[in-house]
Amino acid sequence: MKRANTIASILWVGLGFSMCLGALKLGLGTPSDPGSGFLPFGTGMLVSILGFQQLWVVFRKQHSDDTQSSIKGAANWKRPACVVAILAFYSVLLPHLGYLVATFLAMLGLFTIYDHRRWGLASAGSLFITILTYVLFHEFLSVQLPAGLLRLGR
Amino acid sequence: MVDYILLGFQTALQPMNLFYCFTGVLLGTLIGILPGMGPVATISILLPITFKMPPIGAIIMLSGIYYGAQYGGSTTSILLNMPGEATSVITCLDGYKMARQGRAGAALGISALGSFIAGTCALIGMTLVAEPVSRLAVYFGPPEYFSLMILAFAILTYLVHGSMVKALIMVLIGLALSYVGTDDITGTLRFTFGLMPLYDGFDLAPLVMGLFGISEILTNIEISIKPDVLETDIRNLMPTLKDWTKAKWSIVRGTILGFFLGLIPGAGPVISPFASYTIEKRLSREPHKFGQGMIEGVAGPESANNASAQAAFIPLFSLGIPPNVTMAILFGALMIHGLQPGPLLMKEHPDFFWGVVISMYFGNFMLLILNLPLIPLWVKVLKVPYPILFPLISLFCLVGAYSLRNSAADIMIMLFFGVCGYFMRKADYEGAPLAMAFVLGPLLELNLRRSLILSDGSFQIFFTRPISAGLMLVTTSILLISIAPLIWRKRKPIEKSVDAESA
Repeated sequence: MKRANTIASILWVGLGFSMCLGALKLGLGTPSDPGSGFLPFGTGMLVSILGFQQLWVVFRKQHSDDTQSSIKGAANWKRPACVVAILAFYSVLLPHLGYLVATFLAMLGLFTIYDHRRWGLASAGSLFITILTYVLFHEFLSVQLPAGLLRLGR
Repeated sequence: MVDYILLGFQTALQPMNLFYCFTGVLLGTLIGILPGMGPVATISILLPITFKMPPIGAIIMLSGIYYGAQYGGSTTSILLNMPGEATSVITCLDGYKMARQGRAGAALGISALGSFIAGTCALIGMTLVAEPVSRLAVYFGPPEYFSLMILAFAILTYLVHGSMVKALIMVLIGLALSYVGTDDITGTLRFTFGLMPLYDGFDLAPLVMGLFGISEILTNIEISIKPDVLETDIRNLMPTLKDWTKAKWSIVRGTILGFFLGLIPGAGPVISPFASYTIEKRLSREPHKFGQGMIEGVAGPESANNASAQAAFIPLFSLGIPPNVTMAILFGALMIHGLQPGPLLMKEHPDFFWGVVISMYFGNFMLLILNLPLIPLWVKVLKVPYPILFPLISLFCLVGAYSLRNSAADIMIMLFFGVCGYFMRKADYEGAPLAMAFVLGPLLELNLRRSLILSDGSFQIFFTRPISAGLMLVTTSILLISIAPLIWRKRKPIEKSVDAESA
């Protein structure tokens, strides 16, 4: 938690300064005629100041109760990482493979995150969900879903 | 006014609008029951799907999800000791104890009936108050709107669960995100880094879907959630005469308190059940029994959160100021559907305004029917394992994000905010102030710049106009109240050291 807060505080300070620089480039204008960078500059300044304050709080705390873990409750970070990876792959593959294939693969990956052994059940479930949601979104809600290279679902 | 109400009935009673209302309250109850899935995430996920729906139907459905979730949240609090919603946290204290004592039926019954009474009373209040409030909005110019938004942020940061400084940082980050894109006044591109998809700024839907939907999934899948539903016989859902005698004034007090707290920007339905519980405990002849299964401890807070949820629509529709994050998303939904929330909404679109209001009466009736006889079904829903649930929620997020512009880039943006939201949760940064600031950001900037142009660059304009000065005074008081304990705590060691030295 302490490390997470330190990283976050440094990030806010950096972000605040970057915003101030960007705002200066945009032009602050005058109080009677505020420019595009007027409010972003003020916001950036406040973010930096509060970031410094948070950094000060972190360094002032001599005795941290949870120094053992860097991030609160990072019990099983592998599962969230897997989900992020699957969803990222999905966004890349969706236009190429189309909704039906990409969704089936993504669902298969997500269903087996908790239990790797039940491939058969997960495959059947993924197929069912893919077809059901395709009918729901494409047929009933008229959502345009990509057909992909295989031209499935046109 | 009678004509408008009749127009509202005519609109709300259309079969499709009744269907949208039913779908909304059904989904609201469902997500209220399911822990780890709130109305903010659900409305965010379903927002892109409503783009193809008529505006009235879309808002009726999204509103139904919001107030329906307040009803459903209590079921998990009572049966699982796990609040389905943040608004039902306090119901766990006495509701779960009642269930353990074999009085789950009475707890669920008084919760549903109290919610219905409070929701309906708040709706009557809304019907009567919304128009006068919108007339009051005539006195609101750019300085007043700016001060009101600053007040909303002050209350929001004051009431967050964790650090106020962290909440303030989140407000500022939300504002910073709202600057991305084309400046509405000068037409200058800001913080777009030459990326074409950012020229129009960030879309609300992928941001909130990531921040609340995806981050919720990432947090929940770290652990294996196994719903431990209390195996108790749920019967006698109608409270007894003795229960009514005990709970009736709690419902009345909870309704009044919830209604007024719901009107305050930044407070919303989260704070009202806590305030109601505190009042009930203070007024009780047996305060020591609170937390051991007192029916007043269920009736008061449940009435308060429902009254508050209904009242929250008043500042949104009448002033164009969303009082909480869910309302902020609804604000975005209204804008997307080409409707400008504010004093002109009920004048220019009376069929929309009154149609939505009257549909809420029907929604409340539907919720009563859904919550009482269908409780055994909801108990079964609670047993759906999370490994089956989360891929479905993920898929809804993915399709929702993609359908915005038929672009996979929106999925990446959603995923980016999802990962940000996940780490924010880890470091105790809340997403609600960020989302609210993101929605209000353009309005805040516009009103600040207009005020400064009006006053020829003088910030005194915010303190010389009566309404604005009053709002600023309240904001300053809130800030002083929040800073006071910090100064007090700092002074103590000095006093101690002086004492030690003198000794």
